[in-house]
Amino acid sequence: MTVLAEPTATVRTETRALIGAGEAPHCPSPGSEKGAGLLLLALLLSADPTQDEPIEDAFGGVLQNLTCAAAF
Amino acid sequence: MPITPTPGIPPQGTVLPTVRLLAGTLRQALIPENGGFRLARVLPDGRQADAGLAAVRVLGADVLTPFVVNGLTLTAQDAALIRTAVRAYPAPQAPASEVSLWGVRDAALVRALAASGVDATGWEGLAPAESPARLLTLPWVAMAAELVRMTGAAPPFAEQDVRAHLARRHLDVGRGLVRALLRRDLLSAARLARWLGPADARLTAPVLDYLEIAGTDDARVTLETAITRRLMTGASPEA
Repeated sequence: MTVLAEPTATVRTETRALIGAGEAPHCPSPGSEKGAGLLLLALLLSADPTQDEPIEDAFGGVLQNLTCAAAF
Repeated sequence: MPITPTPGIPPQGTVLPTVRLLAGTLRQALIPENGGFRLARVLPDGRQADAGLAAVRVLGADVLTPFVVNGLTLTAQDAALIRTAVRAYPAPQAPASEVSLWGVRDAALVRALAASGVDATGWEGLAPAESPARLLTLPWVAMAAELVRMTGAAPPFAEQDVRAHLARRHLDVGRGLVRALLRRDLLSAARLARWLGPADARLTAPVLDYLEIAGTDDARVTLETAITRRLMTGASPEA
């Protein structure tokens, strides 16, 4: 492995910041991109997740709940 | 252009992607069926070498998890690489809070190295050893926030007296964990779940199930949950 003689100040600063980082300062809203992963996962769980029912009713209405959370 | 750090928000440069890459590789290395693991093989080379060493420093003792948990042999080359990372990114001299944080993390790194058969006494760049014990007397919100920052000293690298103290305050750690979940701060939740571990398995077990789904796109979250799962049940993460 080739090791650089001296890390740049930028990399040093970023490293210290990452080590010192604590809790996330902001709460993502319900239905934000962190929820999008769940939506995708839910859709991948079955090739026919809705069983011919409206998508809003799938998985006990969880998609509908997430949609409402995103809207409000 | 220099990066100006904002409190609580890590800057987005070259180090964070490398940290995520290394965290993902470490998670895979926790699967015994994947065989041997060598740090030197997975870190970037050439112009990205400094980011690779920085990632080793950021993840701290966690880079040794496959060796300590799976009993793999730490090669002299990997040990030298960790030493190079420590020297390249030495502990700060100030402010006191940062020195203390690095002291706790570096003490855990030294313990992890010792468990892997390497004596790190006298390594250039290490912070003076500190114990997180004094943080365990803080009110629960402050204590949980500090435990999040000191995840590198969490089990399996925590001292026995710290584990015993945390077991007595498991309700407060659990409150911090629930608060992190309510804030949708998945990384903090994963770190607190690791600190809590089997002290409150009724809470930790369902939280791990949730984090393994909700945090699947963040390699740092999946590494934390894989370590906790392994420590609690001996189960390996799914490939």
